[in-house]
Amino acid sequence: MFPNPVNQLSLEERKAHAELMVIIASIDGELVQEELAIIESLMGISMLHPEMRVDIRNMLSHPSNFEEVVGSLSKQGLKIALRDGALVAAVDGNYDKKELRILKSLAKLADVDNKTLSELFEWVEETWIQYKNSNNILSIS
Amino acid sequence: MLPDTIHKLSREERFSYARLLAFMTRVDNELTVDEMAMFEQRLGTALLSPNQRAMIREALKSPPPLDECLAGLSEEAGRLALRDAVLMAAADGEVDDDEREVLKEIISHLGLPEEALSRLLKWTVEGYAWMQSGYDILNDLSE
Repeated sequence: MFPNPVNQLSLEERKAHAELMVIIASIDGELVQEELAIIESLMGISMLHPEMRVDIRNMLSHPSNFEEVVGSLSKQGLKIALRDGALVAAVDGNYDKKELRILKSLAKLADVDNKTLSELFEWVEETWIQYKNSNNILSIS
Repeated sequence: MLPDTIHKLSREERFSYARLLAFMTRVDNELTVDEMAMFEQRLGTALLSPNQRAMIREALKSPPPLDECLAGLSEEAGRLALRDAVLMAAADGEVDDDEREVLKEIISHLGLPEEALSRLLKWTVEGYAWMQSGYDILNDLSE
């Protein structure tokens, strides 16, 4: 993945961001390896302290409460979480109804309208294509 | 991240992959926050064990020789490591001459054409702009 402004957020917000990614990944009831990899990747780029990462991993089976977590995020933090949450939700191949519902709730809190949210989903799809282009360059099937 | 396949490599290959990235961080003798963030991100994607992570962080201080890093990589793992080595090299905004030399060595080791470097750098620049655009969509249209 590419650079991400998440590491410019406060430590408290970065932790909330990671907790939110866990909530989104686990909301459809199953955690696949791709979801774990993307959560670890986001914790890495947000430069969370290793001990905090352990706390977040422990939440994989018992995610935090959505309302409590979003309360710790600024408007900017909510927008970054919405963008990254859209990537996390899509990483297993499709958007589940519950994933869409939680992303819409997040969008509402971040003052992001439905049209913009649709554009974000298109961006996710294009990001997949962009990323896969590297496989073509390197002839990786 | 995304449709990545790093986590599907064997544990040994993921470790070698991470060692190569640790080597890349030290090529220009400075480790910026952006490089460190990119390194930690790639380490996360590799789903290394806590012990392996500790060893890799140690490798940041005294990285192994390039030949040793490359020896443990299969063809596919080597290509993925090359791609992410380019991302790492570009993370601080510029790829200096030393970094270019190392990337060329990796390309040569993998038997890829020289143009692979310019194509990957182009892909990286486009990718950086694209990732930013995801955040811009939320900022520009909703404020």
